[in-house]
Amino acid sequence: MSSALGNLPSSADYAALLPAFIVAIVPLLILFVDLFYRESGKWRRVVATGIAVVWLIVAAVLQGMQYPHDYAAFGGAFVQGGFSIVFSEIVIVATIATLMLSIGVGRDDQVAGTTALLLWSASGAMLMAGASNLMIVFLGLELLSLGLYCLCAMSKRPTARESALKYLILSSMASAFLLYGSALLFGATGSVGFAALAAATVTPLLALGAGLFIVGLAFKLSLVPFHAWTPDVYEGAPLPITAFMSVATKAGTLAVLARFAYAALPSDRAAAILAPLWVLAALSMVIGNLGALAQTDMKRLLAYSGIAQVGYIVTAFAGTTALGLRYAILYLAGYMFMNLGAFAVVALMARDGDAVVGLPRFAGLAYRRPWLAVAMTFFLIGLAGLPPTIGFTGKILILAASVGAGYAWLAGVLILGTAISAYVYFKIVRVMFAQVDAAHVRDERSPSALPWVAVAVCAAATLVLGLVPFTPSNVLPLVK
Amino acid sequence: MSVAPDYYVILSAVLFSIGVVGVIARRNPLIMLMSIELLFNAANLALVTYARAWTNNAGHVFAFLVITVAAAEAAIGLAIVAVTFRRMPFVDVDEVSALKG
Amino acid sequence: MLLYLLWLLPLFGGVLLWAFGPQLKSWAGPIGAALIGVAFVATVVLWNDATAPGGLHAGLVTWLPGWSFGLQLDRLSLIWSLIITGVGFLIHVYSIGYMDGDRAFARFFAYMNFFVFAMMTLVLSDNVIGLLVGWGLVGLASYFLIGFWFEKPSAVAAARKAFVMNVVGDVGIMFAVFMIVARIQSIGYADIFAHFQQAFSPTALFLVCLGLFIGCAAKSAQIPLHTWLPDAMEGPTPVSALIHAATMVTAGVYLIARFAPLWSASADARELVGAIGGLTAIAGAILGCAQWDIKRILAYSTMSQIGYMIMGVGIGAYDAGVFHFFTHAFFKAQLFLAAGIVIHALADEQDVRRMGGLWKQMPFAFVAMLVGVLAISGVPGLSGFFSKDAVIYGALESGHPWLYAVGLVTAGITAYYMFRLLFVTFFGAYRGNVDQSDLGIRHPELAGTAASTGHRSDEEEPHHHAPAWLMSVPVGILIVPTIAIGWLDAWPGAPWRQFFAGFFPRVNEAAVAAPFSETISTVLVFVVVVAGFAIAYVRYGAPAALRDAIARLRTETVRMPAVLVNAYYFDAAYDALLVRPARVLGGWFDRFVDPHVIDAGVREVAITSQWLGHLFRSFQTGLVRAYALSIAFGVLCIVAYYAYAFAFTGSGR
Repeated sequence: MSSALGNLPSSADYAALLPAFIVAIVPLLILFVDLFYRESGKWRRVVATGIAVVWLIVAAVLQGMQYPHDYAAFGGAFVQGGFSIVFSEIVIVATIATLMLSIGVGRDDQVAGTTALLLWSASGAMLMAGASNLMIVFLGLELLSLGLYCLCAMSKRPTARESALKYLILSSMASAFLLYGSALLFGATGSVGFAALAAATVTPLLALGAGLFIVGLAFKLSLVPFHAWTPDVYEGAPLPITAFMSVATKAGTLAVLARFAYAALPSDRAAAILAPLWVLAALSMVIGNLGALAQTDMKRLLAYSGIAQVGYIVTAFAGTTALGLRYAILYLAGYMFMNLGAFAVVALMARDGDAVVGLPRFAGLAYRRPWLAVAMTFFLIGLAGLPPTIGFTGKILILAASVGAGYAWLAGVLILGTAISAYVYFKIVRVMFAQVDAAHVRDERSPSALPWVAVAVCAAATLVLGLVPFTPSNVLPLVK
Repeated sequence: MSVAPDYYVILSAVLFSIGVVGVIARRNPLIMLMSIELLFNAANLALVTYARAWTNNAGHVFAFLVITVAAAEAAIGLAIVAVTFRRMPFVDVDEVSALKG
Repeated sequence: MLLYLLWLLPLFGGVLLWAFGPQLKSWAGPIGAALIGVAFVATVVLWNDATAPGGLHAGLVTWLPGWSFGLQLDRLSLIWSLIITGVGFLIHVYSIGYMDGDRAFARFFAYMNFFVFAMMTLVLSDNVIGLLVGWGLVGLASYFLIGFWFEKPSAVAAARKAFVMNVVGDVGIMFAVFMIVARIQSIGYADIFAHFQQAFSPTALFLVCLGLFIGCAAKSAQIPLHTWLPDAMEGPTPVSALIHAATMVTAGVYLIARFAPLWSASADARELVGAIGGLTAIAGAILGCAQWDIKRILAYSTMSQIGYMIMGVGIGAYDAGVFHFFTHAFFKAQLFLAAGIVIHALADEQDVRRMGGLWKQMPFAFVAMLVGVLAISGVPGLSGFFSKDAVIYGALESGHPWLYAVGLVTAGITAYYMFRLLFVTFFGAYRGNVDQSDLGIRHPELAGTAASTGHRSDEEEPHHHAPAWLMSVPVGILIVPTIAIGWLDAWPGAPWRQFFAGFFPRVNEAAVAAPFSETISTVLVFVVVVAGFAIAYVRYGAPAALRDAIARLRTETVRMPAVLVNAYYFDAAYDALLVRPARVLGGWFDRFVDPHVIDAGVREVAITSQWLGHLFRSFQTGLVRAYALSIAFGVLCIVAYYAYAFAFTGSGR
């Protein structure tokens, strides 16, 4: 019987957690510095954002330096390795992009607070990336969510507060399911470590615990039928926060789901325990894309599209093959760039960086702001899964992996979902390239050019990843 | 395992179910938050029970962690409920449904 | 590094000239030519690396295991690169003069540079996908350049025809590439040649070769996919020289030489390709005797000469086939460029019946044409003599006496029609002022006369002439290799044979003992060539023939067998068998299938999807408690599953 906290932690244990620590402690620095500003001003915003970006880059570099080393810190509670580092880097990139998009959003005197909350959320997602212990999973998940509840409300629009309330209630309920599942898993095995779970004999209690645990994760991933909150919350929340949620939350949760599915289940019954997950993925791919068909608000549309995209990623896990995991990571990275790119385009179309951007606003965009329309078209092509983007390459690889693992039916659903999604995305493209009377269209511009940087980086990454897919090979083993 | 822990676990399951029904059935957001506290504490009860049954302190530590998190959650939850309903005549979550479709 | 430069320089030129053509004005030509010149120098500099064992290799990207893209310059691609950039450079210089004053001067050079890039992609690629990309791109460049004068409906039609024919070939190559990738799981040539024998049964290997050859036949104008090449002469003459004589149309020869290991292993493929090559050689040569348009005569001669090359590489005489490509690139480019000088001077007249006696006015063009004709006819000592001999004798050596006979006869016909061209164009009296009906020309639009090809009317657009040396110097330079290059392969230990010694795999079967030696064969070929010349002389060059040339030409025009005038009815057959049924089918689809089946189906699917979308939308009530209920419902379903899977059927505690 191994206790997660049995041994005293060493300096190496703290070193493994250092990047997440930095991201968790820098908010205090930001808040402290902010105390010295008496009046609201542009510099107050620049300083807070600047400190955050600099330290995020430091954390990213420190994280990257640890890449080749596998280390199980705190008695195996936090496993640092290629897997966790790739996910953490995705979270950090998403956070930096969010900060870029949020220049110009909200009041200057609130920026330090929102930046701090954002970093705490990010540190939660980074904890989840390396968590291989039920407690750390719960801690990371809550750290991620608590910040986001507040961030969702950070807008003057009443819908922002509504989205925060809905997110708070539903997400807490889902966390409770995950927690209760954790308690049952602990009861079934007498341990909170993933490694011990994998060695246990399967009992109904363990299966039930695993099921509730998966429900909690499925909620965070917004898999159907636990997706209902996603469109409402995405639509109501400030645009940068929506962008962050659509990537960072999913990255952290997918890391936990992957580690749980691959490494924390007794191998003899893992397939049976995970079976509902593939059904959820299939439902998400179909219903997510169908739901997107009827949408006219861009954030809402991207929310539904995100539901389907997560379905694609979970499809890669089917059969829990090592290759599938690598392709899932690749597709997640690609999805991050395509999705953040699309959000950046939307941000560039709002005067305060956070307007409600409906589909009619895109009418004739290609003639008014051709570069923006071209960029958006490129990201939509990627999301639809057409070459020469990572959307295409990633989907082909996922199809190959799932067929190879014996889940051809899931691959079939993926193709069906992709077919529906093409209709969704090309609807937007068609609107952008339609000739309309410009007088009828409200044309707003973002006050900041920083989203352009995000657009350029995301477009380049979407293309390059598509041509040169990077699939990290040293992601296993996931527990020690 | 002895018989006694099973009763505690059944109790925790009952509490959890009550909590779920509370979230679904009640329209007052404060009562919904209380139901969520009930969910967390039902899990706590299970954790502590199993910690004793397996004589593994990890369960106790987990329970303390949950208590802390639940406190933070309650604080944020009350704040959000307060800003949401400050300008509304009734405190009823069904009134908050502008986002839909 | 230099290899990347060699590859990308023409692309850079193409983009530059395309983007900044209007600004560059008359500088576009010199810039385009200079870039190709630099590429040629780069090729020469890379000579030593390329001839080193294994050649020069430069990686680009590795996409997935087995999918690495790269460039390679080995001896085979070196030969092609030298011709593409070297002859390409001369033709670019020539074009500065030829295209001078054209409205789309810069666009022309942009396309030409782009073509060179595409062709370099084709020959420098170290994998089948890159080859396929290059293959498609040269087709695209050819399409642009054939239809360069897009005001002419005939040019547009010819461009479209070439494109469609080439797509047929592309499908063949794609089929072969699919088979290769599916069985070998690698796209690199090295992997393919290392593993194809385990991967393919003899039948499968033959199918792969067949797929590749369909591509060759389309690109290299082999029967039955040859009909686009004569029509492609609608493009500007430098285009005909570069793309439709020297380089692109020989891509099929390159492909077979590149896949020599496959051909060496498949006897069936060798028989098929050798036979089609021989058939094309003689059929093209016979059609060459029946043409009056100077460029169409050269086009059919190109088709015939490529038939020789394909026959050579097809039967396993790879170095002979490649050598014929090498010499042909020089003398055929020269013939076209000399013809271009004539056409240019006569204000776009292309009908040889309306020429005559030009040697006095254009002595330089005459000399250039004469050297070219002597070379292509296989007069001893000139380049064509050595390479053609090698191919013809190669047929005998590899045990194909029938193909040998075909090659022999074709050599005679070649001499006949080329001297016919020479005599009619340059000897006797000038006939440009003779009434067309006196010459028997009834359909000027079919005969390539100035009336039909007058795309640049001097009345409309008087243009100053660029210095004549821009056109004559490249031709003058080409005369040297046309005469001398053949000596590279003149004796058993000659440089060419050493160059390719051991490069191509030997054909598996033991060589058949040839019934007579190469010397006897050479004498035989020479006799046939002299016979061809003699007939041409008697009919067109003798004083008696020149005296009543007009009457004789009219008689020949009127009495020309219909089968030759209609080029064996290939076009008519395609029209009857494919084009018209396709139109009928298309009309039927248009009227019935599209609106009532496909559109209706699409409409139904779209409506159903939209309806489903709105249905799900209505579930999204915006009530947080409803969402909580949906979560609880999901949990119940999942718990029910676990209860079913584990508590009742699984092992209990």
